[in-house]
Amino acid sequence: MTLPPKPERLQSRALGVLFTELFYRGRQIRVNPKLKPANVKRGRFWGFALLALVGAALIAVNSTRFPAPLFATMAHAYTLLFGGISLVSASGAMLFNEQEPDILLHRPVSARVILLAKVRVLLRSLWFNALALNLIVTLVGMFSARGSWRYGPAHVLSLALSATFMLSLVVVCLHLCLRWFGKERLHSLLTTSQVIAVVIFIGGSQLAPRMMSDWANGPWQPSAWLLALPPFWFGCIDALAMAWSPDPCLLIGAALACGVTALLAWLAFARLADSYEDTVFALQEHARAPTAPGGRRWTDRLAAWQPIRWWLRDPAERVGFLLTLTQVTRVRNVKLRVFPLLIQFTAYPLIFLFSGAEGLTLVFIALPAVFAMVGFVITEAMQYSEENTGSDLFRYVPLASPGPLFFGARKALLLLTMLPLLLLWVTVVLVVTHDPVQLLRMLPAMALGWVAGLVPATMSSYLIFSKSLEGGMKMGRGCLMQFVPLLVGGLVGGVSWAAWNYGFFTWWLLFVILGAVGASWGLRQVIARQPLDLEAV
Amino acid sequence: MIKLRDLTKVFGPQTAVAGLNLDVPAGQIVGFLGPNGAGKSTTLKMITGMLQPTSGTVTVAGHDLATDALAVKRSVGFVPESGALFESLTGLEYLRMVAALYGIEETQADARITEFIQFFDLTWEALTDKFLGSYSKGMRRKVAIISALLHNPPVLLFDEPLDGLDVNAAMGFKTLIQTLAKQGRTVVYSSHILDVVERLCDRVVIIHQGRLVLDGAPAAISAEHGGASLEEVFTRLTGGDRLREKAENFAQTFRHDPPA
Repeated sequence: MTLPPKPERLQSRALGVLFTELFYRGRQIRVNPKLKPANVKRGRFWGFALLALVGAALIAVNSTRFPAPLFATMAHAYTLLFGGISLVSASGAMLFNEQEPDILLHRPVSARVILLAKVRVLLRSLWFNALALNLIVTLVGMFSARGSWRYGPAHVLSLALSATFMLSLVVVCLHLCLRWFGKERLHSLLTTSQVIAVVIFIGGSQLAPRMMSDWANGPWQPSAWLLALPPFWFGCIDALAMAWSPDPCLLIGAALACGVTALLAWLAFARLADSYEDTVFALQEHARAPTAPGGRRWTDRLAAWQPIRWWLRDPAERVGFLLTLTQVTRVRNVKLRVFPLLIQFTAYPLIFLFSGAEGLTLVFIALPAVFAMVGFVITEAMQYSEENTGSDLFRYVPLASPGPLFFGARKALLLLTMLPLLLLWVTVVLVVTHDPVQLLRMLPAMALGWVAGLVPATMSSYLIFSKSLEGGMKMGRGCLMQFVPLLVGGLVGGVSWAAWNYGFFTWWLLFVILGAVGASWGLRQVIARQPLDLEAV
Repeated sequence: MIKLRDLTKVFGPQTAVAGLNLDVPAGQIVGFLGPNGAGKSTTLKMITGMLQPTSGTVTVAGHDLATDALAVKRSVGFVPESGALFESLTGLEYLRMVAALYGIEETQADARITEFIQFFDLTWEALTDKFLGSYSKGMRRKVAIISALLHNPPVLLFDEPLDGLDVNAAMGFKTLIQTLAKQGRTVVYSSHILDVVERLCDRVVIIHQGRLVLDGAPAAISAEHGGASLEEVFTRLTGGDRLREKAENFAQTFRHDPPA
């Protein structure tokens, strides 16, 4: 009665189709759970066009003035960072899906076949996106005055190599982390690595052109420190093809590109593929270390601290505070909505400090927009969670308004986001200026951040963590709304700069603070009277 | 057909299954019982090769799990308690994918799926018009059951298979299991619904804290325990014999009016 063993080809084909569908279709369905199979969009033209446009903008802004090796390095740097960010976010669920063992592990298919099917899908997607992002770059490299037709084929090849490098690196890292550190820490690691990727992307895209500015419009001078940068290795392949001359530095870079990629690919897809099953077993076997008897988590200890207890006298506010604290520190996708945003908004003004004498002036102009965006966007994000069905609880307990829950959540956000942001900028301003009076210039930013954090809750149907994360991806109106705090922040920053320089700052500060107090009072009244939106269930 | 010898599974500081020995011959339906956390699902997952035993051996249909896991998996059809499915596939896509994993060509698979559709009162439209994520719980369970039976395995392992099925579907499914057992298939049926187990199974195995505490035919167990029902025997063996008294005492704490 037992079936005879069948060739792996049939399994491999079925799994290839499965993972392709899950990869491309999954997100559309999560965004729209009622989507019918017939309405799934298969065309990827617009995605390709959008990436090509982004690639064109990046190359136009930063790279064309550099000599060939650095031009190619820039292109690979953007590709690796874009690809890396999307790969890290997709690969956790794709490579080590927690539901998958229950569906696949009891079927007669080897772990290697499953892993290789996933790798094929991820690699295809990475290469496709890399080609789209590099379409204009490739044309510029082929047809510009300093270019060569050889750049085209060389760049397509080096992109395939860098996609393999990226995927192998991520597979090896996730694999080893899961085996060594367990599931819980893997989730933290994924979050951390995404945050780091965002920081590197922003920092790298702003700082690298400044650091390489000596080479702009000048002759190519090899430098050993470039060999520490993986994008340079792949850029060397392109540069060798363009220049058609065996520069030793370029040869070493190209050799590193091929050698390191081959080594990582062997580790990821040959050496570790056989133990992939063990790693997936580890997903099921992880036993969380129990809390020590009588031990309390830091969130409980914080909430039990007397000043916080007094601050959270309303029980519903206390619930909102604790829930926000736990969601923001424990739930991966909530963390990913909060911390990269926070770091992103913090990083831009820090980079202004590298812009010479005008740097600090730019910082003070930008700070109101930063505080307004942090206040607005992160409060807006607190409506979304992968555990959103849990919020049905708030609809059947005797709670007249979602307002108190929001006020508790807001207090948690003030502690978790606004306070660190404020401390950071107070320190930066004091270190850079050595003049405490300059801190007054931050007050308009703080007032604006305070008010902006109330605005999202005045919109209808705001209930903390009540909407699915995927709903948050569809926020067309939300994206437009994000420009409002940016514009208002820019305006306040500009007027504050003028007020400081033309001697009416005291009156301006008074106006801003009184305005903020009035707006805050009005918005709180609106929020406290907001009814629960039962239609959303 | 199934042989477990000194099967043990340890998760960190906790022993989930402790030296379990069990033989299940062909043609038998075994009810696999135990309180929450007793080690039932862990044992089933070890038999299917989803979890690696810490020690001990598993032999299914003559194949040793340690040396020929794929042959064991080919011999087993399993419905996990979670009922996990890939939610962005349609029912038909999912079943075709499962068939391919067992080496069944698409035309053969479609013919077999059609037979299951008729048995479970489904339609092709139901399997193609929606993604699994939007199926009802009962529909999802039917798809999970079909995916376990599609390759005609000699050993069937069910972990709470009736969860979500309506009365008619559950009745049809139970009859199907009994008929398959009469044909020589081995069935291990894990559930908390004791009266179903009592009526359906030829033999009942109870595990508690990872150890086997009872093994026998329902009628023999009842006779041995002075005519007690399976539920009474179960609660006695798993430390629940004072539950009634405990519940009655606890209910007394509700005697005051609830706060306004």
